[in-house]
Amino acid sequence: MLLFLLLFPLIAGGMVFILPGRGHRNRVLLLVSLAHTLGVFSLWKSVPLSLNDFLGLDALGLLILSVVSVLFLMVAVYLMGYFKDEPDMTHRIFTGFLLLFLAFMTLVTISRHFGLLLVAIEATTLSSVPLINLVKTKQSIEATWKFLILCLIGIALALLGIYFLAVAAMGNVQSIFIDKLISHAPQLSMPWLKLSVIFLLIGCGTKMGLAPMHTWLPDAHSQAPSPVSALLSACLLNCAFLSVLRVAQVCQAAGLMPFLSSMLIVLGLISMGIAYVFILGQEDYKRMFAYSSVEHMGILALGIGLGGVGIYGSLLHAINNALSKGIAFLVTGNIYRQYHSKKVDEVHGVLRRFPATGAFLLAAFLAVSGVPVFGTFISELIILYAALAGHHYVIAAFYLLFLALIFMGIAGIVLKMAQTPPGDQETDRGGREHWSMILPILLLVLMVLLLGIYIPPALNDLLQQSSRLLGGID
Amino acid sequence: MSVWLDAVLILIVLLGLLIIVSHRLGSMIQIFGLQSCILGVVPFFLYANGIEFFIIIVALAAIVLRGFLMPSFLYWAIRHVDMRTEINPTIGIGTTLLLSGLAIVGSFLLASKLVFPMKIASDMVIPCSFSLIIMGFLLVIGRMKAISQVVGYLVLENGIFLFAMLLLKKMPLLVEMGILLDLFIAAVVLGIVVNNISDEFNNTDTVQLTTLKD
Amino acid sequence: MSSLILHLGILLAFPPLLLGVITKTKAFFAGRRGAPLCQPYYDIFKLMRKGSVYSVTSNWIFRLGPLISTAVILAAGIVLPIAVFKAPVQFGGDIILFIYLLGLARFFMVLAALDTGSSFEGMGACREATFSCLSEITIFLNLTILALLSRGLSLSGIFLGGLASSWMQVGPVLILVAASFFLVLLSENSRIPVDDPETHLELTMIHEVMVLDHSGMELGCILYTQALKLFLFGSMLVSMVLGLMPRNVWGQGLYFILGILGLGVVIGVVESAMARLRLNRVLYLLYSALIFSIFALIVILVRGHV
Repeated sequence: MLLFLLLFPLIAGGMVFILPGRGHRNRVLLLVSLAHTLGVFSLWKSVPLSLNDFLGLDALGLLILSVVSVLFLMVAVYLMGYFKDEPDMTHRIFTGFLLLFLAFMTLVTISRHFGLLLVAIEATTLSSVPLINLVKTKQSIEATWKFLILCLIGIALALLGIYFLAVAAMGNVQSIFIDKLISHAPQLSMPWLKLSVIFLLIGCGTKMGLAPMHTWLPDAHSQAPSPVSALLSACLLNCAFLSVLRVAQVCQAAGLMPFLSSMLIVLGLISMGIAYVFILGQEDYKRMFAYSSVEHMGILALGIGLGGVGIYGSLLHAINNALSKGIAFLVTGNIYRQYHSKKVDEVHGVLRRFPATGAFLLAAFLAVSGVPVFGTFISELIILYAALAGHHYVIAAFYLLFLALIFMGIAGIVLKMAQTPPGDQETDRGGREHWSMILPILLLVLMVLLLGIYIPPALNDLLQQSSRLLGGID
Repeated sequence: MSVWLDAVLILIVLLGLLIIVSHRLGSMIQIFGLQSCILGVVPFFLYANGIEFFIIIVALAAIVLRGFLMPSFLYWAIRHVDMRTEINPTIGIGTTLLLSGLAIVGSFLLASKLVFPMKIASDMVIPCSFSLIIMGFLLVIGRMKAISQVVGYLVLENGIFLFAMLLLKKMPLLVEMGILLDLFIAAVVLGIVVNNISDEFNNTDTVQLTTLKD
Repeated sequence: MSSLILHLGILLAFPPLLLGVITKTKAFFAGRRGAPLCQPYYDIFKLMRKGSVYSVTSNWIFRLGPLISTAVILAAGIVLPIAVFKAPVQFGGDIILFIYLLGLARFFMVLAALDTGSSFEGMGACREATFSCLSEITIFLNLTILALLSRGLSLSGIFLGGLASSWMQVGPVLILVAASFFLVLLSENSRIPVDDPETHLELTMIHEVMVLDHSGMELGCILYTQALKLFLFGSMLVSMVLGLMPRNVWGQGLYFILGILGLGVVIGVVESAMARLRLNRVLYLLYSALIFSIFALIVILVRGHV
């Protein structure tokens, strides 16, 4: 089953490059993502399972894989009606690389070897380049360049971290399979392990968008086509987060968690602070949501750093954040389609002109900023509880402060877009929204709402299992 | 043998300094090629009394890929570029030089604190690789031209490769070849993007890439 | 006493020949016959016999500067061993005296240049002082490294001690030191690529600008001092590279002479092959020299060869 999950999108992606007909390609995309999602959910009963030394799926991997798969399915549905007049070649390349992107993200979640993990992450970077650079404008090339050079540097540093890990393991463990490292963790050489953790954190943190290595993120997210932004924000960042979690697993086993925690907390708070600074008065609504991604990655890092019940909260937040970022970026896709501008000032009266999109925009805002009833509220609350329970009052204070400030920052921008009266030439209702651009967003909103009031027992089980892997308490 | 290895390592670091000082893109690329070729010789000194087949393969692959393929690829990427010199770097050349001097000192101090769990032919391998990594990093953040940044990235990769040499015998070949392949893919993609940049902007200057900012 | 006389004799007689060798080499590469080897001697004698012209704005410091600097550099030469001959004056820590004597000479030259009141000479003095800031540290570091390696604190101990065995152990490091030394030598003695002693192009001159107003005997002194300084630096470099020992006087002496002449040829080749660097890039050259010696020092310290 694991091999199927990995190879099916890979082969389909290869095939799509030579498949004629836009409709065919769209159907293949939809079929593959549906099969992928079904496949992933069929695995829920059987974790942990391992195929060989290199490939295997544990609770953490399954958690992230499910998020990736669901979001990908939603984006695939969304894409049915997204492209209208792009050249055939562009569509071909886009769909092909999209499927490869899915395959490599799957590989990230199922690899049980640090080297393989890194190769998979690198592969996701490379396969997402054509997606970001789909429409070749000066801005998109600039964004791609920043994305590429920063992620490559990050991966190079992570590679160095992996070599250090290998040196740390040279004495007794002799290999860097994740399971073996965890079971033999106390025998690792501590100075090298510490060095390795630092470099891995910097490397994976770059990919995850933690400040101050986040500078590629707003550019790439704002320049990529909106469905791709949704995938980057909801899937790719979570994959990078998973790699940080793998490092945390080893640290946890080796008793280095305090060392890692302090770094994670600092990075997390810096990310939230920086996100606030740039969200305030942001002129580009996609960039605003991108900075919100930086903020939420900061929250994830903070939750892991706080430990205890914070880990559970952080994992739950990873799901919630992915869902709400999916909503946010898909909605921006709708808005951009109608207004042809990313400037906040040029978007008026969304609520009046496009009631559905307008409502979703408000939902996205509420979900992203963690307002009660939405799932994000619960997970942010759990992380706050973790901070208070651990007597980290200063951290808790900063956390609340940034959350409140960012809430106000986003509110100012989104409410302006939604509620200002439409301009004169905009009073007519624009083109109708295609069903495929409404349905996935609606589903995502329902999911976030559901997680806000009720966590299904199966998911709760999985979260607890994952949290235990990281040494958290439920 | 250790003396020769030391000499090679020092030469590699000095070539790194030379890359920093040279302001022509062409000579940067050439010096990088030379550095990589010399780097490819290191495993022969490192494993002087136990050369195995795969070590030769890795070394040759490094020399061919980094020493020849990559530089010619970069040359191809700058064929349309008019301005072939680096003007107004964000971090001045002198400052970069002094910082790399500090980096060398720091690397040696750091490396003297770390105990490598295996006997190495020369204790200068680790500090030299650290120094190269930092120099590459300085180049990436300090230069404006896309090509200079690529060369910086490649110097950084060279540093990592130098460290990887130490693991050549203990760790599987898989990792090594993975890196070479990785590097190659990276160069191809970087080249394509650089090419895009030069088509769009008429020169590979990242200074002009300043439309996206807050 | 006899050793002092011998030492002074070498210092007085030999240096201008080195300048001659350099000029000859450059002439060879330019495809000319060039001035005779002894041309610098003729120049110095000619200048010594001439009268001097003094500007009305200058005072005694202008006249005294070149004389003092000649005397000071000669004094520096006395603490430095030459070839196989130990220095007539030596004590632990004379490295510092040596470096400061060089600095003192420069100080008086700079004062003399400033005394003319010409902004042009002031500029030259400023450049000279700026570059020497960097080269002085580098010389210090280099001598420190050599002192660490040879366990001698006096110049004689360093250059006539056990550098030969160090070459076996840390050869690459010593090559670094030698390279750094060579770069400093070029800059301190205003050779190409740092400065061109031949031209009088205002924008790029350093040393030559500073001595533009001097004439007659003072200019002769300056010319000789320049040659002497080059000889001192060359002698340090050659002794270091050859790793001389104070036995087998004739053989080692011959090596030394060949070494010094070879150095002259090398400098000549460098001058023919390279163009003068732009002024801001000279700084990079000096930074490089500094980094070379820092690199060498840190290797030696970390390695524990001390």
